[in-house]
Amino acid sequence: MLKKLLKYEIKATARIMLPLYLALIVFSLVNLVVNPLKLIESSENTVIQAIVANLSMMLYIVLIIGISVMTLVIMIQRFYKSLLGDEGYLMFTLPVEPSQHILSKLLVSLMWSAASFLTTLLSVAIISRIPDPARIIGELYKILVDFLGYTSLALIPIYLLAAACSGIMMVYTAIALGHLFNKHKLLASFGMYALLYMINQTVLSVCLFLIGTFIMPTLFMSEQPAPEVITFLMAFFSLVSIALAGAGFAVTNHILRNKLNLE
Amino acid sequence: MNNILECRNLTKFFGGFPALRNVNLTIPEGRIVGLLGPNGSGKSTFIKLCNELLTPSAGELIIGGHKPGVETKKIVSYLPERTYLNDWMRVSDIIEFFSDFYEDFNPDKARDMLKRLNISDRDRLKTMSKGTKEKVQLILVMSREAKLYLLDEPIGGVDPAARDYILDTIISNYSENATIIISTHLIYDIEKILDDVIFLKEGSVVMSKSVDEIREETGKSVDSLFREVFRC
Amino acid sequence: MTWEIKSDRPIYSQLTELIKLKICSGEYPLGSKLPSVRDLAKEASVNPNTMQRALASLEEEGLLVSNRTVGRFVTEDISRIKQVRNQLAREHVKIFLENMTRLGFDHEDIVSVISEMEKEMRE
Repeated sequence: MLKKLLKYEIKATARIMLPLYLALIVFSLVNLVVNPLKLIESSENTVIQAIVANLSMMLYIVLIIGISVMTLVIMIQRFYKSLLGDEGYLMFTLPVEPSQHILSKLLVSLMWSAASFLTTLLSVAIISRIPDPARIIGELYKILVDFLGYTSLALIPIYLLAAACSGIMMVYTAIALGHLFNKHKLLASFGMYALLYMINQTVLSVCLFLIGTFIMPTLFMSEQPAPEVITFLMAFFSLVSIALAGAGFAVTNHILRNKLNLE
Repeated sequence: MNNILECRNLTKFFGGFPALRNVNLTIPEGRIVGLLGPNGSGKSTFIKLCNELLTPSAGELIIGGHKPGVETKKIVSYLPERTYLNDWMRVSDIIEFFSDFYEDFNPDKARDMLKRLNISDRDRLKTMSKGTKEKVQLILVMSREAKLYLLDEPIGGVDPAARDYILDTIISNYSENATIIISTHLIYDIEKILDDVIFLKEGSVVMSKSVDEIREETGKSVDSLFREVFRC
Repeated sequence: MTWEIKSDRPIYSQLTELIKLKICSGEYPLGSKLPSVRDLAKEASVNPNTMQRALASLEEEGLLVSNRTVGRFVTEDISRIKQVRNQLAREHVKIFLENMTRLGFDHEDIVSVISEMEKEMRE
């Protein structure tokens, strides 16, 4: 059933995200050809050229911001409207466990977050016209390996994923908690988000403090090379993020299963 | 005869307010049951509990041998009193959606019924009127070969012609041996198609009888009896 | 003939009467096949279970014959139908006579009013 939920969730969101990505990439390619910055330089104050150049830069920025905003809006709306709005009457009467609903929303949200991030990177790469992208990436990779070591480097995407998971689950948990209120559910959700954010920060601070006082000194004293310290920190915070996401998942699942009260 | 639905002391509180109080019911297979009562008598609460859209505060509810959950959702076809269809979908999308999730959904039956309303596969739900959307929803719900149909106010707020269409669709499409529970406060229009009626008043069952029993015993229609029971 | 159902008596007994009438009047001819329960229920806008009950009781009375695989038929026993027709007529006449007696008509008045009416209606 999860597969079917994912299929439907992707269908519902792709029709918004894919055109945005396409627009950004096409726009970047056009810019590659037209090159607004060159236009400004070579314009000798030809007004039209300057306007075209500025406009296209602005449009580009709007597109990039638009993609990140849409990613966030879809994350919130697909959970709030499709599970707790009128559509919830359809979704919650499907023969599917609530946990699968949450999981499908989470996975698709993760997918779009990653896709938005990568598309933006790609467009920046296109527009900044790096002469030899393969070489640059190779060099960048070398620097990172030297500095972080292979293990830490491999941990970067895992950490990013874990952090994104806990971020998205925090949004879902806030919406689910807001649903417990009889009135002003949306407003309550924002309040709950603030509360969860504070809890999240507290947990992270406590972790940092514990590491700083107890673990760091031993790590430094043992004269471990830097990469291993970084590996440890990344692994540790990945686990913390996963734990936070898990807690959020448990709370959200409990509310959707036992405290559901659609308007 | 097997019972499709049983509940014992089913109770639901909202805050401190009891929306349903100690409801005991046994509903056999193959019946059309009217769940009757004025607004706020607990009809929707009962139906939502059967669909696990609410969780009971106390008591027990068994549908087809299971507590509300994935197993019961496979055999219950539910029509809520609001439209839940996604505006971005086409008719073909929603038919695919139902086929994907419900094993007992018969897409050909749905397409056939839609065709008779001049609704095609390519039509977008966005362009439909509220009345048409409600009919599409009814068609989807009745195209499932379910064991229990729960129809919440299916004829509320529609014109008489649409009312006839809805009742016809219900009678001629429910699967054999299935039970239908219809909640409504418009009894006059629905009385003829009911086997049994359940009167709900302020969250409690005040009567549960067959329509012909009521007519034989009181010489009155269910509609006029209802007016007496709920006289303000 | 339409399926007019009154609100004060059991629906099932009203359906039985209506179908009897349809058989006696020839709307459902001798030996003809009846529509399915569902279709009849839909036509009359009543519950299929109630229609089923009405048909079953007509079977018991020998007006309908059911064949498990093919469906339900009107009986070919013409004498049985005549009997029912007679019985229905007697019921109508009984009510008519009761009403006329209440109006103060005796046998002769009734006979004369009937023949008068018949003459008028023929013209």
